[in-house]
Amino acid sequence: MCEIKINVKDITLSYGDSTVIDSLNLAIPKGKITVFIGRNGCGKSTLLHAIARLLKPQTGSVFLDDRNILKMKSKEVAKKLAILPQSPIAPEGVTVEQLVKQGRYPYQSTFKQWTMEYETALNHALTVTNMTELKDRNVYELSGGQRQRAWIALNLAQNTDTILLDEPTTYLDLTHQIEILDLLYDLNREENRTIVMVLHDINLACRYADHLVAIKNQKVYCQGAPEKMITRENIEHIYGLKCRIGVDSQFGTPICFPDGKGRKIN
Amino acid sequence: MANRWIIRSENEKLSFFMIKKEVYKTIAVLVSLLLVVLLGLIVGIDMIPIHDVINYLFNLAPIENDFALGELRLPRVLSGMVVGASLAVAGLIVQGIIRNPLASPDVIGVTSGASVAAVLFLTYLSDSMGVQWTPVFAVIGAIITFFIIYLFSLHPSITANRIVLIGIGLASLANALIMYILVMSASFSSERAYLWLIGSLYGVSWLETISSFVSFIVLFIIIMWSKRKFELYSYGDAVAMQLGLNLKRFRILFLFFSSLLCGLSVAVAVGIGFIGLLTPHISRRIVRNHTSLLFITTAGIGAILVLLADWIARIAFQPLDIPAGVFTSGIGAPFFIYLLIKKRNSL
Repeated sequence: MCEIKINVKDITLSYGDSTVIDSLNLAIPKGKITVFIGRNGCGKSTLLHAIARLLKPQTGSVFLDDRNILKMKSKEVAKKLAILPQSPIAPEGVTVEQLVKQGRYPYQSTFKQWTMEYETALNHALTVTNMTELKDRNVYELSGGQRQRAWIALNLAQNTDTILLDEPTTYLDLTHQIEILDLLYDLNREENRTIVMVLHDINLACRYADHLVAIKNQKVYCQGAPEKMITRENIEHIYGLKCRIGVDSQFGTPICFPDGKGRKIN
Repeated sequence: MANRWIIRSENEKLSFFMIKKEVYKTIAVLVSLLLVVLLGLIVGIDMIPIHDVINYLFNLAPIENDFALGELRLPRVLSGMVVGASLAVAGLIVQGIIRNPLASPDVIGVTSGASVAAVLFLTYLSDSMGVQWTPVFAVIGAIITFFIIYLFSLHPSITANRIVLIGIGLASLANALIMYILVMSASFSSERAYLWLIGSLYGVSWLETISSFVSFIVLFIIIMWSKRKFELYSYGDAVAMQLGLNLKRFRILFLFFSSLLCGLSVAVAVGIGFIGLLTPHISRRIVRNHTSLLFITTAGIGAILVLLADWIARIAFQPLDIPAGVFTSGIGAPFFIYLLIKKRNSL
């Protein structure tokens, strides 16, 4: 068993009277890519938000490197863990550079706004995400994929070794989905950052994730390496859908072919 | 890098980042403000030559028109600046916090709330306490109104846009209250309140001018101190929170700042409408990527707008002295309707 980065202990989350997550326990491995899957509204995004202390749990707590994040200062957490919310909105008229600079907020003070160190972090974030040439562009002039890369650059400028992402590929076309996932894969393999994200595309999840976590009925239904976890029975239980499982001929990772209606070609 | 300045002290205890273009634009706004101030001082019912103005301001030589300049025009121009700058900055803050371009202290009813408190004071308490306490009551009224709106905003069903509607409701309630007070009170005290409500900058005293000017400067510096929070907040709740901003504390702090600013401007002249709504739309077009400069530009443009409105009001209808508020609302109200139409998708 590998090292644990984040430990979720006995956490209960609810909006008003409806409980979304009920005394859930989960360990997220360090330096790996972990992907949450599950049906719409199963609470995977809610869980991600709670791990990033954006949502206060009713009971239980989240430990980051064995420290309770609810007892840490918020700026201190911000130097260790970053989250990219789903479809964030930039203020009108800001440039990419201005957006990415926000990632330095936890480090800045009134008179210390732009040290060499900040500039290095900013340039690194822009380089890794391939945004250097676009840095003076208005965020609203960018394509969906470029915009998402700008937001990821913000998280990189934050210089945390853990990055959480809530459906980072939603609304992107296939090319940009792969571009973003490749970028996250590089960040994980080359810079050894722990990546935790929610994905809807189960086939892409299987290809990029080291560790899959399926959420169902307010709990972790099952978890593990995709090639072990993705079986006919599990998919049927998680999604309530019958399917056949195949293998990607290039990657060797599982592929899920859902049953249902459609054209048949003989 | 050519288009920016990076200022760093040797030990990096001080380090700043500025985009040249935005610095130049801010300077241009401030120069325009200076020109408008001079215009207000020089051109009036009669002209005061520029060398006389300079002689008076720098105390170089005695001048002929020292009463008109020193007792009438100078305090009027200075308080016009304070009113414009305060309303504009208050508007920028309110639009930022509620994240709605239609919000401003007068639209969401804070100005009316401040007016209720001030009118109550002018009608019932000013005889025993003295008129100089009006600003304090205006500020208290503004804070109470902001607090009521904030309490509403905590309810989960109240979205940012609904706050505007709640504010409009509060504003009509406040205006009804003002009418009631005016009708029910003795004629001499209601006349005092009525004159104050119309919002003329005519006959502002030096005491009012100096105290409001100093209060504004102090407040402005305090706001600039926490402007990074204001900037971060504009990137959305989740992003701001994950970077370590305490949202609740930030909102209360900045709503408090804007009620102080709003009360401050109401205390000087109440009926100057729509400056808080209009100005941030102009200044955000000029400065986009630097929050300190955005605040300075907003204050500058707010001051320019009020000074121009007041100048036209005083020049164009001689010998009548029309309240400046007539003009700001004359431009502001159509603009508000334009925004309603343009932003229909976000409402």
